Amino acid sequence: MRIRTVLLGALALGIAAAGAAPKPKHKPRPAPVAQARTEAPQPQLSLTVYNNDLVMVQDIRTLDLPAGRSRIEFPGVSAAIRPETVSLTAKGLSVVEQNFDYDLLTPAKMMEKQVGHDIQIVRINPATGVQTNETATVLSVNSGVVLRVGNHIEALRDDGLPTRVMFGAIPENLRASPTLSVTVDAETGGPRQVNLSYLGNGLSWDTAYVGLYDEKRDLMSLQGWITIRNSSGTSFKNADTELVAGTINTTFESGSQNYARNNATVRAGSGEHRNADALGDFYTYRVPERVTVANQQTKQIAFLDVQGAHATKLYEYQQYGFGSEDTAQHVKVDLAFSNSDAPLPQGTVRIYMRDAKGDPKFVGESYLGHTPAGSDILLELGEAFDVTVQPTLLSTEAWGKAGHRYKMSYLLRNARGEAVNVELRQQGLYNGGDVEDESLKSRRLDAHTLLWNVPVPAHGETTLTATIEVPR
Amino acid sequence: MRLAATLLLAAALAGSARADDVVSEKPDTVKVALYHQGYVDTQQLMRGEQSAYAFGFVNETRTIALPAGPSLIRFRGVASTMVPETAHLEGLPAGAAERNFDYDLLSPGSLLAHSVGRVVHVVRTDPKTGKESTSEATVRAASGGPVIESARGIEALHCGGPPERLVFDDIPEGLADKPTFSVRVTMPEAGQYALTLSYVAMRMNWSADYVARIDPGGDTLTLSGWITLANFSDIGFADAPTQVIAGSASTTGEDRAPSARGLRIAPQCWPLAVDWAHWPPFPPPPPPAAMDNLVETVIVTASRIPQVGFYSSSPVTAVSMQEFADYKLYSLNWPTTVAANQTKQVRFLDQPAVKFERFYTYRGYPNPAGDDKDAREPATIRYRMENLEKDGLGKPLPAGSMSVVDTDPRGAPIFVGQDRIGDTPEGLPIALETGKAMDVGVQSRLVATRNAEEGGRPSRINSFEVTVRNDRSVPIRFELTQPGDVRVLEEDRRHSLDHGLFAWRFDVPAGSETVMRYSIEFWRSDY
Repeated sequence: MRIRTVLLGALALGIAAAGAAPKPKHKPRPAPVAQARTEAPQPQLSLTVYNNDLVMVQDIRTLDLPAGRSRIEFPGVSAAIRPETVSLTAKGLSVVEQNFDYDLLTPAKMMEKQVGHDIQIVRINPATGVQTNETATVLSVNSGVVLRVGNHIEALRDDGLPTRVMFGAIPENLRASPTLSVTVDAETGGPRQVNLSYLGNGLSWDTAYVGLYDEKRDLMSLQGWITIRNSSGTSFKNADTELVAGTINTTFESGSQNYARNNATVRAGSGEHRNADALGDFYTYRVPERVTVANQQTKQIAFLDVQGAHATKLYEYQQYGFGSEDTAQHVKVDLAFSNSDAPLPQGTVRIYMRDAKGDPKFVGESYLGHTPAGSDILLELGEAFDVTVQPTLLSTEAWGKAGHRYKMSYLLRNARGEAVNVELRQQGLYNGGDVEDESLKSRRLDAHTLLWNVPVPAHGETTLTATIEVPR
Repeated sequence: MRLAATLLLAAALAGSARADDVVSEKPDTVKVALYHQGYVDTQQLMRGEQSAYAFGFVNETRTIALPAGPSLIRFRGVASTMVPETAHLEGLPAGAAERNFDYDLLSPGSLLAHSVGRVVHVVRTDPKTGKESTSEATVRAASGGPVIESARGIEALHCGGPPERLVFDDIPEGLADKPTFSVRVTMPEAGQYALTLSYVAMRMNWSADYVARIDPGGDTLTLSGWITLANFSDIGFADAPTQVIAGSASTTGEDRAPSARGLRIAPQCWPLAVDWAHWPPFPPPPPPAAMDNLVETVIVTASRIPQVGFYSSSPVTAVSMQEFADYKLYSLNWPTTVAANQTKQVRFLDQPAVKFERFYTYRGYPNPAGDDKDAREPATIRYRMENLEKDGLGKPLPAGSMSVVDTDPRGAPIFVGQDRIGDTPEGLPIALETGKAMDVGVQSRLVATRNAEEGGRPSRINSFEVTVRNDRSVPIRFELTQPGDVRVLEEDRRHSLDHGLFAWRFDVPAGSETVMRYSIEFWRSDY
């Protein structure tokens, strides 16, 4: 039995054609009518999250706009917005200008904007507690604040005494958070649906798989969790969320790079692709209900739950060239399984096994790239403590025209209580190199690689020898 | 008064959970297993130099009463270094559909940042009378310190006014005291459920440390092994069944606990002519240094501390070994407390009468260059054991450091060197290089060299004369090696091919020297 797609009722798999623009995922809902020139009301949000630190946000609101020019502010947009990607569309509306203001309101900035203007200062006498109110004009804010109070000049808090400063208004363009504003020109006045969309950073997703492997029965259960990480600084409330699996190119710098050290291998597929002709360039996954993707949150949504998939453990050793190792090398332990009709979006696959007491324990993990259905997957779990290979180059001789004849011996040791089979691969058979003599029959895996299946008895060892001739 | 305030805060935190939330305050039982990722060095840990990849694995059990229908289970008291993606939950009849790990932590900064646009109270204290007065204001900005708006106008707090503080009515939604793992479930029926939650937690490590104490006869040694556990996270596991896993599990190197520190806001006030302020003026101070750079307090404990340091031979082992997957699982025989910032040692091996061989080596180079090619060099001291039952060993030996302790002429133990071993299953040799010998010198002279041709390619034939001088009062065993890819043409002793090296072995009597001659050929393109 292979892994079959079990999409939890919750999550549907959709397929998007390359380059197709995401469509609005819901019907517009009535929202409170608001005045233009003021902040827009609570939006209906949809998110399209990509693997590589990228999100497309669609923000749909109903705005009551006057005819002619007006300005709309969107203070709730992602702090990690790419303002150059903003697009605002509505019926009978044309965009005159878009601004993204990130001059943040701080006490120092506010004071700088007061040069030439009046402020109120409140001095407090520390001995008596008596407060004195005075009007002052800010003359300069350079390494200190210089004030004109009445007809004399002084520096603010030159005496170090507590002095409150009261400002009349918050200066224009200084904001609590980065704010997008759009100046529009409306043909007619009245409420209408406004569709804002933009790209932003700070959101990404991949998949976290946990496989519980039963070695005695060669069975595995596999759970897949869509994992969304939000470090954008903004919480997205009740968002219709869609995830795109695939590699998307962007020209701007992205915060997260994938430097996974240990990658799973996808070997030749078994050809059981279903709906193969329906495949576009990407898979998309829809979260069925609206979800809140909070700032500083890792959100996981179940999408795959497979019981009783067939999986086999195998031992593998790769010898790259013809040479010796001065210590015995542990062989790798791999887990092989297939996904018959469930494409597996990229993510880390973690394999757990139960110990003698029945507690699950970590065995190993590998990073799996986007894997179409019908693939044979090989996950590296780790190294076998008890199974080792000691390769030795017995001799090198000249052979033919500047070629080599290598005599190799491989000592395989097994300290386990049961016999094992090791897949030993010797690479480096370049230029039509061939086996002249071998103690076990090999199989030519590809032009450059030999494969031996070496049985090693329990608490025992096997020595494999081979003579290989490689022309120059 | 203070107690009341604390209780109120606790109530408010619990209150930030919704009505249908089920809060599990802490696990009923916790087990922890540590994995090996590099060697534990307590001095390095105290300096804050630690592997970012080191991790452990936690199994928790919790008994939770769940209502029928949908609910959200909040798992409080999980390890703060939990990697949420690794969570594996068992015991629910129907699987969970959604789970969240929230790490927007409650801090003075996040409290303020989440209050922008909200009404708060400003409390000022009269410096003369100590009387407090409270007024209402709306927070207008937070990122550079609080800017508030009240009936009197706009004002920046903490920029040189009188003592003043902000008072909030409640904790904004989404802020919690600790990172919280939560799971959304729909139960077919209400009841008590026994759940097990398993996950990877970072910042834990272990390695083995061995002491090889040479017995008085000099032919055998006593090998004792210690498991050194290190917990350099800020969470402790009290009285937890503890295990370590020997072997090398593959990791992507990408697993990290989400960085949960709590927002910090430094006020950005206007400049002052005189620095009266309590805070550093503009520009704001850098964010707090990363935890990794701080020198932290590390506690070192040991179980069964031997009386004379590592020279004891108490035969008690606190550990039993089992097979697990292709690894070895060592379980401490009683629950132990693995405290935060602690290194703990437990004895797991005590093996008397292990046969060993001590010899001296010199690694020859096929094509020596330079002017000092006939200089006398000290030989390298090597110890060799076979991990076999007939030699007194035959046990899996997890990777770690091995110290060799000999006896000085007065009969006192003396440390003579240390080396590292990899994971060593039964049947493999153990080789240690512990240092250079003062009294065993090697002079390798290149006595003849000529160019030749082998298989149509230019080669070179080098002849060596090696003099080994033993100034010790005992005979020694010596081993000379050359790389295994040269050809030996002439030799006055038989060589062997051992671990990819040609090796010549011979004895050198006390206080004398032995001369050995050999010739090798190699392709000039190789050396």
